[in-house]
Amino acid sequence: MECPQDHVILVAVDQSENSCRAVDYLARWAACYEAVRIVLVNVVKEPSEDVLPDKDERDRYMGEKLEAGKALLAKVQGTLESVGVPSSRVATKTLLCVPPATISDTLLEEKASDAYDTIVLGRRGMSKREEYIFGSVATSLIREASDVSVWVVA
Amino acid sequence: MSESRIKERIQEVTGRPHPGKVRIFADTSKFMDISAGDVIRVGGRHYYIYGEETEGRFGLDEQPKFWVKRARDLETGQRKIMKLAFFESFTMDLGDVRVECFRSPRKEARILGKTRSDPSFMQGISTEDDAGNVVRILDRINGISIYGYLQGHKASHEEYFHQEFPRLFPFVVSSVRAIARLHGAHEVHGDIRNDHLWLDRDTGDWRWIDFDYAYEWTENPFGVDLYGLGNVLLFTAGNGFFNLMDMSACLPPGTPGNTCLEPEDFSLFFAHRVMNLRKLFPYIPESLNRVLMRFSHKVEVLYADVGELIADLEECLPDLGIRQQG
Repeated sequence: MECPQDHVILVAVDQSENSCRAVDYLARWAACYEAVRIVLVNVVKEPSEDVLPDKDERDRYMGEKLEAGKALLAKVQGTLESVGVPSSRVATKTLLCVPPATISDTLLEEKASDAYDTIVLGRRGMSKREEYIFGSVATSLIREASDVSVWVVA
Repeated sequence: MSESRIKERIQEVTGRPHPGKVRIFADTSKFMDISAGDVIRVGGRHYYIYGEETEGRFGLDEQPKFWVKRARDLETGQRKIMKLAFFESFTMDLGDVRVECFRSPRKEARILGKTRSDPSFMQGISTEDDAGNVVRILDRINGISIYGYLQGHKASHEEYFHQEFPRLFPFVVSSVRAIARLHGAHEVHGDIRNDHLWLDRDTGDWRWIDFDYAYEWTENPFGVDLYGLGNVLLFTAGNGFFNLMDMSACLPPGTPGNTCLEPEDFSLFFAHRVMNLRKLFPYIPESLNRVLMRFSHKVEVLYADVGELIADLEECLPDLGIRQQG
């Protein structure tokens, strides 16, 4: 059997602790395999006009989120490099999530636009009640994704 | 319309002369200043204000909603409800889940447009006043909420379930389908409650009202509506809610009682609210009880969307002796 040239992994990152855990897990693994290429993705959701009617406030909010996202991606890239994943194998992307799309919609759209083999994300650890009300990106991805493996790090 | 004509119309429409000078508001920003006897001019029309709407929840005292005025359209004489722009954010408890909620006139105005002529929703128009505030002018529903409707049914549950419920259930399913239509239009009701589903006695339609609550979260925007629909289904199937405290009502004080109920029989959101109605009323079909249990602690697979709920509700129809229409 021929070994794959590249195993491309989309890693969804945000400021949460479970996202850090997912990156740490992946870092330990990815450093050992040269065929792995990682794309770190931070999704920034545009606030709804219903919640923030003032355009200037929305622009300010987005500016702050994009800046914070850029810093986060740089930090995570640094984490991967520090454990031996070469920077040539790590890319970063910021994706905009425009309502009514959800975070999982945005990640799946990205997956469809490029040849990803695996999606990695952290599990938020919500209660059943919270998941009922707010939904879960991990659950949505597991249900909706196709032709890709999904790793949910708990 | 001149001021003298306005005063004439007020008298014609109300049957009473207007004393003194009429205050006309074209800017409704300070809605607390607008009271009975005033006129709001908006969208090229004049509306005479005769009071404020009140809202009481489930037997609690009626509280005035100062941003919601009772009005008469001075051109047609029709009674209207005028919802003025009031921006507030607050924390709402959905069971023990706290969510931040935002009141959005813009959202409600948008939904009014998307549901125009849909008999499952309150009807009205929206316009902007001189200051750019979004004003919603709603047709008053001559009717009663499902909460009030069922409060009037004093029969035993068995009698209610076999006689009234099969008549009511198709309307409930139809109302759930309406929410699915709303979700299909990328909108959320946001405040599904038993006093927000109204029987319009003039048309026989059940209409959803009050959809100005907005939320901000990243994944499933429809979960809050599913939560509300679960409560409405339970309320109508049970002709009210049954709480754990009721179970010991018949025992002498201090007497420990056994119950057949287990923790998984209760609502996922309200620890004392019985969801497993079949344990209380064995004649409730298993198909309907299964739907209710999808909102209980026992649930393993959550409803992903209202479409899944509708599919399950449709399976209940034959078990309730109801033929599916269309």
